[in-house]
Amino acid sequence: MSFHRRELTRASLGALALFVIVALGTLAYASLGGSQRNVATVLLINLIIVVGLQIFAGNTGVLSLAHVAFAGIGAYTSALLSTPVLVKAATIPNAPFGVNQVELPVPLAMLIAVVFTTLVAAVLGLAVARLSGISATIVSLALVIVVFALLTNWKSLTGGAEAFYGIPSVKSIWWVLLGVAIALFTARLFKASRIGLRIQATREDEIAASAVGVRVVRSRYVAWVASAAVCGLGGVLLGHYLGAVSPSGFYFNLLFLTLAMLVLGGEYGVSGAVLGTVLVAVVAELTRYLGDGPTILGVRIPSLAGLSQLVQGAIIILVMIVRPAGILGDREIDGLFRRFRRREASVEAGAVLAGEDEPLSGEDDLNGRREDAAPGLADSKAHRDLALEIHNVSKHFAGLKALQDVSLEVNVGEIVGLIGPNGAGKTTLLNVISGMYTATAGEISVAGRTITHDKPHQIAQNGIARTFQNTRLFPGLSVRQNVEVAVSVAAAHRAGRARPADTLLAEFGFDELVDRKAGELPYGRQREVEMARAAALAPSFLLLDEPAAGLNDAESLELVGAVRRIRDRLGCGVLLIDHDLHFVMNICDRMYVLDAGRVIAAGTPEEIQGDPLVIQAYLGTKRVCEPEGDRRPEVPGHMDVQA
Amino acid sequence: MTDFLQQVLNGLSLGSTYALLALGLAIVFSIMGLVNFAHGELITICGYIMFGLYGLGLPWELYALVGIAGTVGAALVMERLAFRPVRHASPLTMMLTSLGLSILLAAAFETFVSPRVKAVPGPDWISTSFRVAGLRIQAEHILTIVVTVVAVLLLLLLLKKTIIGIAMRAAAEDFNAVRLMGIRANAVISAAFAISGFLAGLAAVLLLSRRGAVNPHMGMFLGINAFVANVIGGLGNLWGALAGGFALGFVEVALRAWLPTSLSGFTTGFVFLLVGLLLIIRPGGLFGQKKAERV
Repeated sequence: MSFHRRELTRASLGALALFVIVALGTLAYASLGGSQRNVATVLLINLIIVVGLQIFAGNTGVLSLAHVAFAGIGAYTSALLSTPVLVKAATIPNAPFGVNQVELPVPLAMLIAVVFTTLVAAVLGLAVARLSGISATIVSLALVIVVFALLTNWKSLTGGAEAFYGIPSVKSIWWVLLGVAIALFTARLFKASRIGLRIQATREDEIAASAVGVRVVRSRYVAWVASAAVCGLGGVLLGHYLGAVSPSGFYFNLLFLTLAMLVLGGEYGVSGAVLGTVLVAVVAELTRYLGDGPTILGVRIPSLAGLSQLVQGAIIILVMIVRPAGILGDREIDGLFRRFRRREASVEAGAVLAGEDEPLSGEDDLNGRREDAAPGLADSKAHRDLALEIHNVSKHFAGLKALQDVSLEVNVGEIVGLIGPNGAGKTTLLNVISGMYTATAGEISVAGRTITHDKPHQIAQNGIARTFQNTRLFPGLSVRQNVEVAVSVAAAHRAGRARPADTLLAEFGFDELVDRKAGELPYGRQREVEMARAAALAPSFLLLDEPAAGLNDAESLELVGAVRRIRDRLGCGVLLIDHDLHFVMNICDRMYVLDAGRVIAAGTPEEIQGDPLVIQAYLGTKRVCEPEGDRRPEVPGHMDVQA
Repeated sequence: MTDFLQQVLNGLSLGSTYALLALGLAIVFSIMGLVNFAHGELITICGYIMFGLYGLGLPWELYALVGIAGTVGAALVMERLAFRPVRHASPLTMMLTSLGLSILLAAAFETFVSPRVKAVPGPDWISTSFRVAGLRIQAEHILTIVVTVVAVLLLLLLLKKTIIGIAMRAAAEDFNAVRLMGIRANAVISAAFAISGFLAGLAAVLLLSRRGAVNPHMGMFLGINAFVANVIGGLGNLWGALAGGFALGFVEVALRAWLPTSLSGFTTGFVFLLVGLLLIIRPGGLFGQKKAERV
């Protein structure tokens, strides 16, 4: 069973478990009497809206407050379509679009309302999904206020600020439970799906996500639309349950309530959304009891208006201070099934290990540089045609000329080093190749195809993977998920070349760690996760930014072997940046030296070693090193020298 | 023409209030990355302080001073109790904390004072007006504009000439570097909150002198407007906040004056629609540079 199949099965079980718990709990409570039934039903409807909110906020990490606006749009649409013509003749006699001529059956009106809400979100999302962080929050807030203003002021359509009544009422808790089931399954399966995983990757690190080929904006857009559909459904049910809707019902009170619910349980998970909803609802019941001024033990407690919001505010603050990720964090109820899953996974991984692939971090062969390079391949004509070529690329930042007329070439199957002192422009070059920056002039092509102006995600999809100098993982995702994101992109875009994540993880020796959060691993292991993730894209070219930084001599020796094996397995070309001359000389077939934004030397390690320009760039003097027959350069091993 | 000038005057006056609020938000944001949703609540706090003192029969000017001082104190307390514990958390966590605080404060006033509007009458002279070339100029217009100009000048002086001001500007660039220079982080952040409280107090006094009443929820909308002003100008940019505040004031006054009556209810809706459109065209606001993240 593949990882995704397994994840989806587990997620379905989780959603089912949540649903059963919620349904049994609310039904039991509802059986106590009329007012309890009311509380239970409203709780369930709020749950739908909170789960809808979770789909966007939880997966993208962008706080959108627009969920109440979508609930409002859904509620009003369904209400307007299904309310009896006679009622509408009295309440909205001048309604536009002939709204007061139609009277649809409730289920049809509900369906149309959810579809309409989704369409509205689909249009708005074209713009909103492009925003991130605080701008997105503000625009979503603006949306809430605009929708409120519309509902309040478009009197001929909505009846204005007062309640629009006479909506056919649907009091049955079973309808609402059906809605809850839809919401829970949608949200949980969404989170576990490939697209959901990619969206969570954008939440963890937008730049790293685009570097593994995830389309950040499109991912967010999908989450936005799905979230709005579920929120719309919640609004629809709320309107029909209450039998009346008013604009203020979909404004700040509902917004704060649902936000407190999500935040308390934990926004990153559906289980958290459920837990938070239930807890806040319980607290709200208690405070309503107190707020009404009950008599406890003969003492009359004064009536306190606004108490429930007081509590909501306090809950949000306390959660943020004590446990910002909420009670459950990103844990799901199906995590309880994990023991079972892990056993199964380790059996599969074992099978892979026993197969043809040897683990990557194994014995090392330092002197085999020429021999284990795919023999003769690098020189053949066919491979030259596939090369990554950089022609006269320049990159200027305002006055600073970071790169000037840089030309270099990496062939498939070849490991090429790029060295140079700090500030030479090495990382800038990598950023230009991977699309993070756009070249000011010049051209970059792969296999003859120009990619100079491609976006980072396109470049990654087309087979150029990279790592980052400061290691950019998806820290909140597991090691396996980090790799799976890239595997899912490779499966879609690198036809036939994608390899299963299990195989990759086993090669890198992550057996025990696959379910650990990547951000919790020690530094060295994090770098390996990043390399595994890049390899999972099945790239034709792999760009490594200072892979040996921070490693000790033994570790960097191991790295030499690991990089060669990745090259051999994938048959890819590698462009590798490092300060560490020793390391670069050991690993590379050819190398380029960059200084002050220009290529000052190119050739085999032996040729570079004796180049006076290189020595000058590195040490700032002309006569330091007189190369003899010795293979090793006479410069210190770690060349972290700022010339 | 006179009508137009009259509206310009109104826009300047309303814009000044937004600008003072927006400046306070921007100072805090630029230093610690906090989007303070509870900033508007400072206005409510100032209002209730003045309401509480009103029965004493003292001159309005004295209430105003105490109100401003109390607002500064409230800003410092907010920072100490709510924001210091989340100072190192993500921007989302900080923003949610401030949202929680905003909800809490509004509800607290509702619960412990009254959900209803409470009168805070302005001084008698505030509604004095005189005519210049057909323009009706009110004392409140002059007061608002003069106070705003003076406040901005004082702020400039503080930021350019005092150690703490320079430290604040430096902290906006690189907080860690400032700490390495031996300046206490707490001092810089407290100073930022004190300034934001002071500016909010000024805005509150000016606003209350015009409106003459306070209610538990007035702060939230003003806070959101200040927030919007910031976003229009580019978050964290002080000049942008100032410009954004005035822009928002003018747009609001213009829409209110010239929207056909049938649409006048949509004023707020239109303002936010415009802001939404602006952000979609220029996600960084009018003056915000797109900060490229280093990779």
